[in-house]
Amino acid sequence: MRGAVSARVILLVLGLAWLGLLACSLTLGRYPISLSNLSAILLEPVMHTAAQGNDIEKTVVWTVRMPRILVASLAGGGLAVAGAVLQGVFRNPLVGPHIIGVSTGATVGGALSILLGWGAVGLLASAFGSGMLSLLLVYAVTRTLPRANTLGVVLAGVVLSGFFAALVSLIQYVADSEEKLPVIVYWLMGSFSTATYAKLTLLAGPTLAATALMLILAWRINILSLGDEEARALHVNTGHLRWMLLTAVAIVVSAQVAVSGSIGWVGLVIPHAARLLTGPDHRKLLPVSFMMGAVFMVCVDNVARSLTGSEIPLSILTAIIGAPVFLCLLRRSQSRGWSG
Amino acid sequence: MVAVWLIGMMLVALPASAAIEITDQAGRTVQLAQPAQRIFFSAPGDFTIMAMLEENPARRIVAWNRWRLDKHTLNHWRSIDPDAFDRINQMVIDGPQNLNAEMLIASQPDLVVLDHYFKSATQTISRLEQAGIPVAILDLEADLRRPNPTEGLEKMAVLIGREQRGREVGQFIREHVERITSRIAALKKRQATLPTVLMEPHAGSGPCCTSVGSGVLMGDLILMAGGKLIGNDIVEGLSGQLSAEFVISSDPEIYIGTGGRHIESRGGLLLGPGVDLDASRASLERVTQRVGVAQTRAVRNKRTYGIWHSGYPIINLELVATWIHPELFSDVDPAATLAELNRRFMARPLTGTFWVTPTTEKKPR
Repeated sequence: MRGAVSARVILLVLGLAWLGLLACSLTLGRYPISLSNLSAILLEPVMHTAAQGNDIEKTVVWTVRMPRILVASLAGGGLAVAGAVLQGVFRNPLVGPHIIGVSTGATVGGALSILLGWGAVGLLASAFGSGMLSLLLVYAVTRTLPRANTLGVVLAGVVLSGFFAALVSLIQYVADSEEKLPVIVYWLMGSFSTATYAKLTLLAGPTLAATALMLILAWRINILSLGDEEARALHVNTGHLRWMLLTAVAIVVSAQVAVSGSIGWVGLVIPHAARLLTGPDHRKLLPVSFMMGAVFMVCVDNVARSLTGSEIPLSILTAIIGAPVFLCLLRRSQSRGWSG
Repeated sequence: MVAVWLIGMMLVALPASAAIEITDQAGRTVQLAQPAQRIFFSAPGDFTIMAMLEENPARRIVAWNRWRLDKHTLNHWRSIDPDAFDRINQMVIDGPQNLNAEMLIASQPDLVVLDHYFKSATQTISRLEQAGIPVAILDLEADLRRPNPTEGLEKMAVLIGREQRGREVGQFIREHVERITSRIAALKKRQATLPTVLMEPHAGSGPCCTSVGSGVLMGDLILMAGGKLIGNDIVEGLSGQLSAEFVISSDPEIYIGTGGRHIESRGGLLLGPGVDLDASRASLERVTQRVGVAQTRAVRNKRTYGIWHSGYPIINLELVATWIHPELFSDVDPAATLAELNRRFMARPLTGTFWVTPTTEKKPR
């Protein structure tokens, strides 16, 4: 019981931290907005009073920053949960959303849509579609293997990831070097600069539904983490459960890539940090991972949009922050022993 | 057959028989026995320049890099002489890394003209010269930043035996550049602050906002016309991404986007040959309503403009000058300049919409 309470406390602290960060992020940026003006702008719809801030300040808060912060929160949270689930399913701390080939698969669709000029809707649809298609290919390849175990899934994911990366390189090679190539490269590095409420809706639907499914199945992931034989002894259909979870992960990752391009490290680093706080129980680990991912992603995006007048691609920042943090976490978890 | 031709070319390329000699823009000596008849051009816009130098440019061109040119432009140039145009080996080469010596040699040119972007293909250049094919590094399109903006064009005119025509075109362009730059020089002496401009290349093809980089001709036209680029200090290279917040906080007085048919499918600014003015104006409206641009003074004061990405630099310079400093250049009429350029020099003038403003009355042709 004590563990459950502490998980609730952690979630409460993270929730409050996220709310504080939301307020802070809404004032932060190239366009200065005071806290008093911000509170007036936020309270205006509720209080039905004219806000102190001018129309441009309102636009910056409601149209530029708010959807961006919410998209960053959802994307970060979704990726962190996806990473935590994969690490549990494969019983391997070095596994992240990239390992099953979905994120690379989704980038193929996105890059192709930019190359062919399909517009914003086309980009979203093709990135999401190709991400899901890549999971289908992983499944098809795994079915052809003599022993369809977790190692087979990982190997199929790695092989297809390499193939998709080559396709992305081919798309970049044939892209117009002045007009389309920079757009593809920038999109591949990830950014929330295109965030809108429409994109928030498109991200929220699949992400929240898939995350809810993973949270519902959290206790089964605990069983899966024991190993296939133990899970079968407890009457869990491991193959069916594993693919259900992989589909949920693929939905989250594909939706994120479709909306904001490829963002690395979040799904690898955050579950480790969360595990240090909650232990290996996925019922606690997944919600804490979600909140930590949301907080982390908003912090990173604040740096990306505020440090210079130009947008810094997110993957650069997540790698710069993620790599050293991951090494530290790895050392700590190694000394404790990893159980997941 | 190719072997015989190669031997012939090597003999032709011998310095003793050189009737025409120039020093190209890379400082290399280029010698021809006679005016070039079978030319390869690396720059897609060079066909347009050749159309200023002679009536039927296709007759002299054996191969051409038509990278990124839309079908309307291609059909327009084809209409001068369809047979000659169809004989041209049309290549699509997006950079020096894809310039293939073998492919060029197969076209049997007597002159290869490479613009500055392709001059880094040193291995290909040396292979061509070993095969006896003269290579000239020339920017035919006027670089208005140079002391002699039409140096490349005039040297090309020499290589095809049209020296007088080259001088006339050069003189026309220099006079029009001087008209702008002399007034801006005087203005800068008496006025410290210049109007701020957001210059967005390929406008509207993505979210707000892209900005031209430092040292790029499109951006330098703004500086020459007495404007201050808001993204100049941040963006390096051809172009780069500015955040919507940076654009809002910079609050530029003037917005100028470049457009073309190549970004039509992605909702970008629509300009160029065969484009209808109403469609172009609608695209400008759409592009300037994106979050970031829509919150600026430029939009509030209706100082939003669009120019064709592949337009004549001299026309573009006059346009941006009249937009940035309307009082100073009240006597400058870019439409009249374009009409004169077409009447005096163009083999067959392009028709369409080449610039757009929120209040453009009649189609600029």
